[in-house]
Amino acid sequence: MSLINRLSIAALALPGIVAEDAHAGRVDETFNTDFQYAHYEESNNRMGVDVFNLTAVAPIGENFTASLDLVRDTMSGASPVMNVRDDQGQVQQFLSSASITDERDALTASLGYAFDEVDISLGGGVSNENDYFSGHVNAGVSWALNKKLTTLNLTGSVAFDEITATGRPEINGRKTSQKYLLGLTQIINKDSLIQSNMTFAYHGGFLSDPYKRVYIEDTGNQVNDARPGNKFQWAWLTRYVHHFKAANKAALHADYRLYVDDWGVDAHTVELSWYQPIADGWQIVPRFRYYTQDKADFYQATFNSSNLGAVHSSDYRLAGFGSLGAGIKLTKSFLMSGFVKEVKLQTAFDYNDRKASYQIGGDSSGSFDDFSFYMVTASINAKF
Amino acid sequence: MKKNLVKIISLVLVLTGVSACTPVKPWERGNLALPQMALDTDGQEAAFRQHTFYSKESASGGYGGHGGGCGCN
Amino acid sequence: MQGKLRLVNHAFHAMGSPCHIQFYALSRLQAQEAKQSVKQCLEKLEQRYSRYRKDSFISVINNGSGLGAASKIDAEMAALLAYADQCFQESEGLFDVTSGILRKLWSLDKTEIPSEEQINECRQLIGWNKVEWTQNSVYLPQQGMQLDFGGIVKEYAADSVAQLLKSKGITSGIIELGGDIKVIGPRPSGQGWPVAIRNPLEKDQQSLQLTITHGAVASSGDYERFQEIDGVRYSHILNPKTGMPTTGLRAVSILSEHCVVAGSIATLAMLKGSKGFNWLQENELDFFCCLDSGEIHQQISGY
Repeated sequence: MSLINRLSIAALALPGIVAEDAHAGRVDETFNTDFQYAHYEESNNRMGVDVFNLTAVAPIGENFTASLDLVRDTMSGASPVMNVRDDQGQVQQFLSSASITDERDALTASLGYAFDEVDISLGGGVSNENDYFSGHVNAGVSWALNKKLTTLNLTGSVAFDEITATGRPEINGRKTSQKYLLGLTQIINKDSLIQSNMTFAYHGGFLSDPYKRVYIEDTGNQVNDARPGNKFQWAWLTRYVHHFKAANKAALHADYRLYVDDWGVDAHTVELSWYQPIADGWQIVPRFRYYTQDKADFYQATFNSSNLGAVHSSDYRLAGFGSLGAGIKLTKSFLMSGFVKEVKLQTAFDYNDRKASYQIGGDSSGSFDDFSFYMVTASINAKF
Repeated sequence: MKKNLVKIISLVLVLTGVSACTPVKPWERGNLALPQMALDTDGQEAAFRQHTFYSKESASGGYGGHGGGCGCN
Repeated sequence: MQGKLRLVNHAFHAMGSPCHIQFYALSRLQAQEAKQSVKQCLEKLEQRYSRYRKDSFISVINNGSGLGAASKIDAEMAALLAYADQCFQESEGLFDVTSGILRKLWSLDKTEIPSEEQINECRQLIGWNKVEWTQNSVYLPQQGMQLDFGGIVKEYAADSVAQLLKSKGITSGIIELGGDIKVIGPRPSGQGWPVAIRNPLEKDQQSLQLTITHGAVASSGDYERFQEIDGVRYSHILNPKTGMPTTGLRAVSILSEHCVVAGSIATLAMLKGSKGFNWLQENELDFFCCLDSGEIHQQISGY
């Protein structure tokens, strides 16, 4: 043990000395409210979504923190139903009619309690749209060790979903999901930290898409999308943050996620962001994303009677493809001395190009599914 | 694809290795506390982005988040 | 209801030195209460440990030296004695809280260096090993022995005041008691407080500028309190084994979590004299020092 440590331990016996890094309860003492508007738009007049999100977080008493989150999504536009073959013998997507508007409302609440080194939280919520209802509960534990240099995280959640489908009254599906996260956050040195999380998800019940079908070439028939009654997903995300003092205190965020599921899909995700403070409370954040996945075992663009099988899907989300995205975000922070401590305005634009040929080891044979989308967000955050 | 997976897993394990950590002196803690150094710099935006991506792609998970479902397609 | 977050600047005199605290308060009332509690805290510490007060706790103990009866002590005094003991062990006997009586020989009104007889006579009354102490009592077995926490209390006061203000809800501020510094917490923007280490050779110039968000800086040196006899500078830090002021290092500043630890290490380095610089390096400390030769060395993580 070093000299400093030996003397520090002796000093701790003195009444006026307290170990500096004692967690001693809750970290955030301010009331926070956030409001965000977001818009999502696909190419070729496919789907558009408007999202309104309001979040409030409040410290209660000495150790409690309560939070409430409200979301309203409004979706409109067309989505792919299945793939067909056109007159030239090429596979094309067949879209649903574009007149549907769908609304989704979601409410989530949680309560956290901060002990000295451990934080626990409990939460739950519901999400409701006219053809889909989901209710969930979750619990989490966070444990700070090693003078707060290391944090262990453990969370679990269970969700119960009810699926009905417009135009398919026979469907009264139920889906149960369990998700678990095991994570570690480690401070490496004064300029960098790393987080690594592993998640395990188990889904059972009605997992097919009631609005999608597959096309059988030899008979010209269509049958409903049919997926296995269960699914296991495993993901391993590693996130690294590094401080660059010389670049006006900029920070680099680099994420890599490995994903594997038992439907045969393997995927890799890489995200890079550069947080660049400019003068006076302004910050600009360029970012880049690359995603690649291979196709599910039971995915095919179109089927024949011979290879149809019990499970089959032509859903573009189960195909093999890659996605390249880039975006930029602008933030302005106002620090104040009054009832309101800080106001932050943020806006971001991201563009994503999803292409079959972007898949690692892929080709452009699935290009009929290619599309692009952009996202715009604007938000205001206030701390009291 | 499987061989690549093994290589990737080994690389990430090495990067995640805790052996290279040095203690942080009290007067050096400031850098880590800067808002741009937080893993979660904008919770609402992160939720919206993750929701968008898992509605259009197969992969999901790793980030935490509450775990409720939706019929997004 | 919360009001304006205001920066409070408060300069005052305590523990025999000029002091200065800066902190952010939510209201005038909180600022007033904070200043008041700082005053009371420092007053209480002086009341207990000032050797200048005849009725202080420490003076009562010292006056009872050699009289046969031990003095009862409380938890804080016991912890100070334990801390002093730790410093004694770490310094192989150089840091000795009974060595304060050497001051008599080196007081500022003396114009010549003390003789060997005078020093040896004084040294009879020095020796931490002779002190009889437990968790509940302390006794100085020879009449004339004295405990002097001068090398610990001012730094301990800085830590105590910081802790006191934190417990009153003040999370942003910095305390300086006669050159010993302890940060309560970073400024509201997250920025650190500017701290300058003075150049020991040129009194008005800065040698090093730091920005500190947490932790403490304590300094020891001959550039503030010293005396000149026959043209030679003598520091105020006295070596209990030789009875002479230390030489080798002119000034040391130490960075650490706690001010009391930083201060003891600074004093220890000065006591190690010409071996002090090596000792600082061997123990992987964060320091700034100036040797007698004028050479300046600096080894501060992040600077």
